[in-house]
Parts: sequence; structure tokens; C-alpha cells
Amino acid sequence: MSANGSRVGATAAALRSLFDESFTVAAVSKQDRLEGLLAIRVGADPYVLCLSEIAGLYADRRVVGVPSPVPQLLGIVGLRGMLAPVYDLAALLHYPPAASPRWVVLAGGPQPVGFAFESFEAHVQVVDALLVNDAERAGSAVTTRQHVRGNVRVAGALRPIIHIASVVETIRNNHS
Amino acid sequence: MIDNWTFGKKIAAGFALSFVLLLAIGTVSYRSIGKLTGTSQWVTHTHEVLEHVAAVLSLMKDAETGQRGYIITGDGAFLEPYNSGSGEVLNVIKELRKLTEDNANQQKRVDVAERLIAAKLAELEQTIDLRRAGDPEGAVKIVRGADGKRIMDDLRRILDQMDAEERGLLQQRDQEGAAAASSANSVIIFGTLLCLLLVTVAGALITRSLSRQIGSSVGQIQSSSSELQAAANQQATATKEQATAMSEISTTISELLATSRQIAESAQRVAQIAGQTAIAARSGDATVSTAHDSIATIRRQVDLIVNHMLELGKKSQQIGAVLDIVAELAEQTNILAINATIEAAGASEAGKRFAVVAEEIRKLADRVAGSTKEIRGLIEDVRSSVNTTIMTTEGGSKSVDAGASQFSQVAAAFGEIAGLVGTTTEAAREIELSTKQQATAVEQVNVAITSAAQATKETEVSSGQTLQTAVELGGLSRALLRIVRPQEAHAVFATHASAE
Repeated sequence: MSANGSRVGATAAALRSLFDESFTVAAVSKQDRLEGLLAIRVGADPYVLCLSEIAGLYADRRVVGVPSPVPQLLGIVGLRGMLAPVYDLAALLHYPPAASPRWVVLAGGPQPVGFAFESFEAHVQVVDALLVNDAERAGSAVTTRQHVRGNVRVAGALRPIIHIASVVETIRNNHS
Repeated sequence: MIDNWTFGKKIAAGFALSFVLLLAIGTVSYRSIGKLTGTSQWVTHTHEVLEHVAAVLSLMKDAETGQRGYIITGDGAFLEPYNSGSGEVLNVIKELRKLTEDNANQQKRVDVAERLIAAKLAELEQTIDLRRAGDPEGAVKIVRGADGKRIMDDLRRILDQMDAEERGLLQQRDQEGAAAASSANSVIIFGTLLCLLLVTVAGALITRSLSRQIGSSVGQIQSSSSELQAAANQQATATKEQATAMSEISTTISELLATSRQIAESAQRVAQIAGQTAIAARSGDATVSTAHDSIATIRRQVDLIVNHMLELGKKSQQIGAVLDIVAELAEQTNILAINATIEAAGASEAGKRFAVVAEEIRKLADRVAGSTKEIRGLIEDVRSSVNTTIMTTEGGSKSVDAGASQFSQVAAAFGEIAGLVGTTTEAAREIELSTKQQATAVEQVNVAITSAAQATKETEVSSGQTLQTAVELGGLSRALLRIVRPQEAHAVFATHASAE
């Protein structure tokens, strides 16, 4: 019990130290520009979303189902005073439909669109150097899917990057 | 039947048969020889008669020769044959009459011959007287007459008849003598042969019977001696083993005696220890009562521990609920930080600074979430430990109950132990007494075993003597068998030698 207590105390001290260090280090230079990513899981596979392509992350929002011929459409949700349609990201990536997607990301743009998924893992920041192009990805074992643009190495493993703009474009094309 | 006779009876029967046969042969021979002797006497008698008949004729011839010489010469010297013949012929005829007394025919002829001799002698005397008187002519005239010649012819005829009669008898008696001699020879030869045959057969039968009986008896004796020898060998071996066993038994009994004494001493010590154990059992009983009270106290304290642990479990659940709130706050903070980062990305340079702050808040929220997970894990560990402690404590409570029950049983057991130790003390004393008695009995048994061992040694010596006697008896039987049945004895010796 005392060992656990000392470990908790050490964790609190580390948090305090990191919090203080954030005010002491210099800002990141342009050469080391960081890219914000959201690590998620669709189905059982790991993916990342670029923060630059989304307008917000929400959890446990009530999605109101509406009748629609589009099977990927889960319904509509109210976000920041406006309504946005919510699609099942797993269905759009040709996975089996998610049972109860808890998380919703809102894609940026003139007409907001929400994408629901089951598991949000973490918010990570990586340097541009860790982004892997398609040629490098071709030699890896990562599965090639629609709406995937490149990969990023997170914690030693490659994660496909879901191109939100491509997904939105596909939805608009299907509606038009 | 003869096989059942005794040796003496068989030998007596053999001698009796020989005696009877010899007696029969002797009797027949005696009678045959007697008959032969009689026949010889009659032959001699016949020869005497024949000699007398010839002597009568010769004497008559001498007398006639003397008469005629005197008549012719007148010399008295020529009368000598006449005188001797005329005087002797009467004696001879008298002896002849006596020799032929058994024959009536010859007696009649002797009478006729005697009359003829008398007539002849009278005629001779007449002529001699005439010559002596000086009448030679008268004498010659008488001699020339036919009377003298007729008388001599009659006399010769009568004497020839007697001679023929006697020679016939002689021939008959010779035949009888030869027949008697032949009969005697036959009797002697065939009787002797028959006797030899019978004696040989009887001897063979008796010899074979006796050999069979003696051989059978010798075989039985030999078999018995072999069995006796084998039995003596077995007895000697058994006696040696018995002597060895007796020695081992004696040693074992000595050890048993020592062990009995040790047991007696041990029983005495056991009695002492049992007394001490009884005291310790009574002391243990009091200690168990004290321990029983202590266990009741422990039981109450265990109940308090269980209550405290249940309270601790409830507090842990409350902490978990607070942690859920903290985790939710951390998650909301994280979401807010991410959204702030997104919003800041679209802002100006000040937005970038705000993004740095938002990022730090997000990191802090991440770490709070991680710490919340760790605390949740710790709380789960605490709850698990509390549950385990409660279960263990309840188990300990049950164990305490069981221990209390067992202490009661231990107290009762101590009581029983005290009683049993008392019984054990008495039993140990009885064992001590019995063991001493047993030691005394074992000493007596040891003495008896020593005597038995001595008797066994004597028996061993006796077995050796018996074996020696059996060997000598076997040799004696083989020697006897060698006398009775040499070939069988040779075979038996060969078998005996191969067996050895």
C-alpha cells in the first residue's frame, strides 16, 4: 500500500513538473512543426484523423435518427446551435456498422458533417517527418482502404490517416 | 508248499530221501547177492556131486584094473588099486548119497549104483579068491563071462545119468546165478542212477529254494539296510540341522532374555513417564481452558475486523464513484482541450499561444485520466484485498470457531488422556511384572533348550553309529548274496558302485 502511495505521489510530482516546464520551454520552431492527430479505432483497426480537417470532437451526444435511404446516415445531432448529419464512419469505410458509436467528430466546412465512431484513444502530436507517404506505405502490411491518405507512425506503429475531405466529397457526390 | 518249509525241514527231507533210496538199493542188492551166493553154493555142490560120480567110476575102474592084473600075474602087488578102490568106493558112494539127499531121482540112481557096485565088487572078490586059491582058469572064466561087463555097463549108464542130471542142474543154476547177478547189477546200476537223479533233483530244488529264500531275504536285508542307511543319513542331517537350530534358538532365547529385561526396564520407565504425563495432561487441561477463553476474545476481535473491512469496502466503493466523476471530468477536459486546439488552429498568432495552453491542459487531462485509471486499479486492488481479507477473516472466524470446538475436544481429550495415562501406568506395571515372569520362564526355557541341545548332540552320535551299522549290514548282506547268488551279487555290486 505504501508502494502504491509513493507511486501516486511520484506521478503527481511528474505532472506538476511537466506543467511547470510547459511555461519554461520555447515555442516549437517552424522546422519542427507539429501536426495534431486524433488516434481512433474503426472496427478493430487503428486510424488517425487530422485535427486540421475537423471542427470539433464530442462525446455522448444524442443522435436523433431520421428516415433516410442512405444506410450510413445515423441521424442528426445538434452542435453549437446548428444541426449536422451524423454518418457511421465504420460503414463509410466498409466495416460492419458500429453498434453504439459514442464519439462524434465534426468535419469543417460550409456544411458541417458529423462522423460517429466507437473508440477514441488519444490526441497525439507528431512532426511532419513521421508522416509516411503512399510509396512507403506500399511496403507495409497496412490494409489499403478507400479514403485513406498516407500513414503516420505513432508509438512505433503505422496508422492509416483517414482523409475526411475525401469522405465528405464522397457523401456529397452520393447525394447529388 | 516246499517254499514254506524251514531250512532244517528241507535239509532233513533231502537226507531222508537219500536214506530211503540207499536203503531200498541196499535191500535189493543184499537180496540179489544172497541169491547169487546160494546159486554159487548149489553150483559148487553140483560140482562136488559130479566129482563123486567121476570118482565112483574111477575107483571101480581101479578095482577092476587091480583084479585083472592080479588074475593075470598072480602078483599081490597088483591088488593095491583093487584094495584102495574097493574100500574107497563105498565111502564115495556114501558121500554121494548124502550130497544128493535133496534129489529123489539121484537117490534112486545111487541105490542102483550101490547095488551094481556091490555086485561088481563081489564078482571081483570072487575072481581074486579064485586066483588066490590057484584057480586062475576059473577066475578067467568068470572074467570072460558077460556079468562083469554088464554090471560095469549098467554102472556106467547110471553114473552117466547122474552126471547128466547134475550137469543139467549145473546149467540151470548157472543161468539162475547169471540172472541173479544181472538183476543185482541192474538194481545197483539203475538204483544208483535213480538215487543220483533223485538226490540231484532234490539237491537242486532245495538249493534253488534255499537260494531264492536266502536271496530274497538278503535282498530285503540289503534294501532295508539301504533304507536304514538313507534314514540314518537323513536323521544325521536332520540332527545336525536340529543342533544348529537349537544353537540358534539358544542364542535367540538369550537375546530374548536380554530383550525381556530391557522391556521390563522400559516398562518401568514407561510407568514413570506415564505418571509424569498424567500430571502434564492435567496441566494441559487448565492451559486449554485458558486458550479457550483467549479464542473467544479472538473471535470477538475477528468480528470487529470483519465489520471494519466491510466499512472499508463501502468507502472504497464511494471512492470509486468519486473517481468516476474525476475520470469523466478529465475526459471532458480532454475534449475541451482538443476542441480548444482545433479552434486555436484557426485563430491568429494569439490562437497559437492559446493552442499551447490548450495542449498543456489536454496533457494534464490525459495524465489525470491515466492517474484516475491507476487510482481505479488501486481501488480495485483495495476492494479485492478487502474482499479477500473479509473472506479470509470469515474463514479465520470459522477456523476460530472450529478451533474453539477443537479446544473443547482437546480439553475432553486431555481428560481422556489423563484417564488413559492412568490405565497406561497400570498396564505398564503389569507389563513390567509379566515381563519379569517372562524372563524367568525364558531362563527355564533356555535351560531346557540347553538340555535338548545336549540330547541332540547325543542323537547325532547315535545317528552316526546307526549309519555305520547300516553300512556294515549292507556289506554283510552283499557278502551273503555273493555266497548265495554270485552273479546277482555281481550285478548288485555294480549297481551299488554306480550308485555310489
